[in-house]
Amino acid sequence: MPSAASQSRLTGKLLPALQRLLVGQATFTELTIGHLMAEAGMSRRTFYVYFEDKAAFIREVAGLALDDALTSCESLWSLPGGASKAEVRAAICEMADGYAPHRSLMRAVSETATYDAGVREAYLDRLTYASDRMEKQILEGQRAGDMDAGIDAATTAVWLSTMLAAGFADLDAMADPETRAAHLDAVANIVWQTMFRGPE
Amino acid sequence: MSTRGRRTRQARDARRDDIRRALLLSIEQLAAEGLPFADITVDRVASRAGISRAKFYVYFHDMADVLQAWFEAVTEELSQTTEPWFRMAPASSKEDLRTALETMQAAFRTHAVLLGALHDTALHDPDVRAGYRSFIQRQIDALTDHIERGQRDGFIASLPARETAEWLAVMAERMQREMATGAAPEMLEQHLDAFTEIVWRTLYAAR
Repeated sequence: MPSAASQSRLTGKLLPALQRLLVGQATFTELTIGHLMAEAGMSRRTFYVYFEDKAAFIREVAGLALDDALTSCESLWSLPGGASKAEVRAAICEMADGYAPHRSLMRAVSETATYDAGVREAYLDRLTYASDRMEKQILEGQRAGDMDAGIDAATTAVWLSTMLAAGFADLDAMADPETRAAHLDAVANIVWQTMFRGPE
Repeated sequence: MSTRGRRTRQARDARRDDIRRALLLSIEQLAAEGLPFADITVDRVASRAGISRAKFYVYFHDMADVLQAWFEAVTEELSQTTEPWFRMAPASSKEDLRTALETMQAAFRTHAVLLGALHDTALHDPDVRAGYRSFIQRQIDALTDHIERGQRDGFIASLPARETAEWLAVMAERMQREMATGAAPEMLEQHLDAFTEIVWRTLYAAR
């Protein structure tokens, strides 16, 4: 019976292999278990000792990665209304840094969520959590008079949280140090103009 | 080609279009009945459309082939619906923007099922993927052009044009896909409002 420790060791080798293989246009859906295991330096058979299929593997690892990525969102969620552009950018940068190690896995999660209910649930669970935190933040800001009452807290939170999650995973430019800065400027601006710049 | 040859080919193309329409309708029906895209197979779709599997393969290579043909036909229509937004001028109001985005939202919603199927097919079919990405890229290019023109004319804020367009596009695309499966119709107005506020504040009313 494979132990949790040995499964963890396997995962530890699989994730970097996944990272190396999921570059550019390559999709997780097209990636074969044989290819993944070869990249990780292991036999295909070993995969099946621990996991029934690719979706089962993603289901196993998605939660931890999602939760880890979420911890780096705390600085954004704790910014008050009236926070400066620089403060918002710093918080977004922290989110991006927290997200970066999980990028390949997040893309795999995103893909698998389209056909696996378990993965979809894990993803939506965390997205809902992130949206709820942002919604609370907006409501507090509106109550304090720091944030514009003209935006709907709940729906705006869903749009912005979805934008951040989708962009960090799908925008290849975020993975490239040269293009990253301009992309962080752009998204920090969108968030600041929408949430933080204050009432009219 | 002889007149007779041309007529035969035209008749065949028309027949292909009819069958494709029936197949696409069947895909939409099966999806509406809750069948996941992965289970929407050639057999099921052909059966629902009332044609044999053999007949399907006379006209199409596989499901991706059906979706790709449809996509080529519909991308023109979808591209046109983004134009009101990208043609927004200095004197445009937030209401004008909302109306423009509403047109876009409605069109994408009309085709939500097939766009979802296309997106899913793109995950395992490089040709479909290239076509889909190319379509998205054209929208990003058009939005970038609009932003740069607006900046030159002084009604759009100073910001990184292309990168902003990419973030707004990734947001709109992901939300459109989510709303296709999740959002209740009464939520659509709220979603449109939120989308409008984000775009308005970022591009046209920025500080």
